[in-house]
Amino acid sequence: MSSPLEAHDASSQLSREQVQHLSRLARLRLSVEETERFRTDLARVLDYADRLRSLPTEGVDPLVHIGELHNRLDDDRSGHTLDASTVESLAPHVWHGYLRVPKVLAEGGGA
Amino acid sequence: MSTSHAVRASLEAVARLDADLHAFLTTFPDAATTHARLIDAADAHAGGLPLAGTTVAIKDNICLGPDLRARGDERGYAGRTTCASRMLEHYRSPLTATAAQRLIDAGAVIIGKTNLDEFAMGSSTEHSAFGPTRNPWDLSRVPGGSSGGSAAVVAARICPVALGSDTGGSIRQPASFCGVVGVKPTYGRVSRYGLVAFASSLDQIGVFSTDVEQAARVLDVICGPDPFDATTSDRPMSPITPRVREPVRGLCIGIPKQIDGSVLHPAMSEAFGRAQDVFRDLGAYLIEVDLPMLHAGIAAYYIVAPAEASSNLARYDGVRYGRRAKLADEEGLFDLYERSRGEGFGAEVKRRIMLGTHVLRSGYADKYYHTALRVRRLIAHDFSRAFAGTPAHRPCHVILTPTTTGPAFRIGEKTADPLALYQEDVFTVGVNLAGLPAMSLPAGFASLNDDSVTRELPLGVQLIAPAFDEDILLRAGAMFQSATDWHRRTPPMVAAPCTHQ
Repeated sequence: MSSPLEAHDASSQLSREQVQHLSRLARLRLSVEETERFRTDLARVLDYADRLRSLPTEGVDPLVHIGELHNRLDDDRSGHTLDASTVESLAPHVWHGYLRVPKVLAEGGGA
Repeated sequence: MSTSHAVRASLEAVARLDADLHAFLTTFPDAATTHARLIDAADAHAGGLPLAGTTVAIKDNICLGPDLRARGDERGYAGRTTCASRMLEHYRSPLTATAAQRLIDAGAVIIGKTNLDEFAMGSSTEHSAFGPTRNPWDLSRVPGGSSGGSAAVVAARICPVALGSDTGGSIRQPASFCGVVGVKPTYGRVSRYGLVAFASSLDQIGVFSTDVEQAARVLDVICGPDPFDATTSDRPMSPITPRVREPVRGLCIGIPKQIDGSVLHPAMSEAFGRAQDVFRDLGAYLIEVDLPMLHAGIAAYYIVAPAEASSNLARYDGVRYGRRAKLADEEGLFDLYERSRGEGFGAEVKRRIMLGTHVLRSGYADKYYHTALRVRRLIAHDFSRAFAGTPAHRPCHVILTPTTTGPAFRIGEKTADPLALYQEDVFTVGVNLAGLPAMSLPAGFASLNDDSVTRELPLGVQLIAPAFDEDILLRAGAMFQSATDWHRRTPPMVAAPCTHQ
């Protein structure tokens, strides 16, 4: 096999803005160093993944899940579930039975 | 041997060895001792539980919950389930994984929870937020990963059995690096209920053990349908243990022609060739099979797995459980999400969430994610064709490959280049993409000279079987083991090898 690293171009990078946009989509606050690191790391993996497009995949059905493709239906019976106090005990911030979050609506109605 | 005696021996081994290994994140000395007493008492009446006398360690992405206290144990095993992440450092699971519960019900005693790459993302256990685990054969090297703690525990003979999880090789690769047996069952054989999700279509709980027979005993206990996991198969599985030593008549083994010896460490080349000779001497037929997509596996896997991970890990929001960042007054909900996740996740997890988010993005999903899923189907087809036979070759029972390209690498050697680390998985990821059962078997050693000290490092070969053919897989493994003694070797740090399992 040829070295899997051969095909990749070491100089390829994503732009800082692309990485910052991705980090917002992923709801992940990154440090400046992480942003810089991921510009190269992500580009390298994506370059490497590009080789997949040269394979004969036309007309092939995507295989999302290997499991046996039939629905498993359970009997309609009540069973054991977690009680509310257990769920509350896991949450970092609870207020009178509610999970508490910071203000969602800003002045003017935008989130 | 009584369960209490086994527990004492395991706890003594933890005390003697784990300061060097750092294989455990949590141990349960009191709970295990109490539990062992209960088993010994019950055993006298019940006429034997299948795993009585067996101590086990469990990877710390498999939940143990407080309901064990109902078993008369004040402390229970209720411990943290951290996934080796700051995100879950103080998390207490409210439930017990089905696989763990079945072990307990069968009389096994849990000694502790083992270290892993954070959220099982990695191949070295260096990506643990709580520090790396060290390879019992050479403390300067990794045990592999992500189930590195579990592999090290079995290699050091602290416990004869450990549970791990395998998403792209996370049981088989560390089994190879540590010189133990590691089995990844067919997707759907073992319930994933209580396994913290990484990539749900690939994850499967499996077993590390000192030998194939022990693995069979554990699989017989943990496999089978579970109402709490709708992806478990209800296909019947007859117990493997009674016939595990029964040779497979006319065993036919496929050797993929795509395996190029030039990428293998010379010692692995030798071990792989020798393994073929062992099977030939046992009367097996070896044939060449064609897996044209073998080398596409890594690229497909490193799209599919991060895509699923980015979705699964979206649940860590700082609201319902896990780490929550402290906000300034003016900060809002998105700051809470972004900062909790930014503080809670380590570099490799962030890298994969970012990658997964990118490949699922509108405008990119077809280019990456859907292409990878098409390649996934081609990979699954390759295996089906190889097992079923073609006009060019007869059907085969199992496929034999090296598990890894070489022995364990040094701690720090591959952390700088994630893509180089991903290459470690070339022989293992296809199995997960296709949902097949596979196992790594100890198959030799590499003698490496580090700083003028010669060290023996284990090497493993992998057997892959058709879906739901665990029986054939383990019997073929037992045949190999009957003709070799690699699995009996123990690392020098184990002063008194355990021979009584």
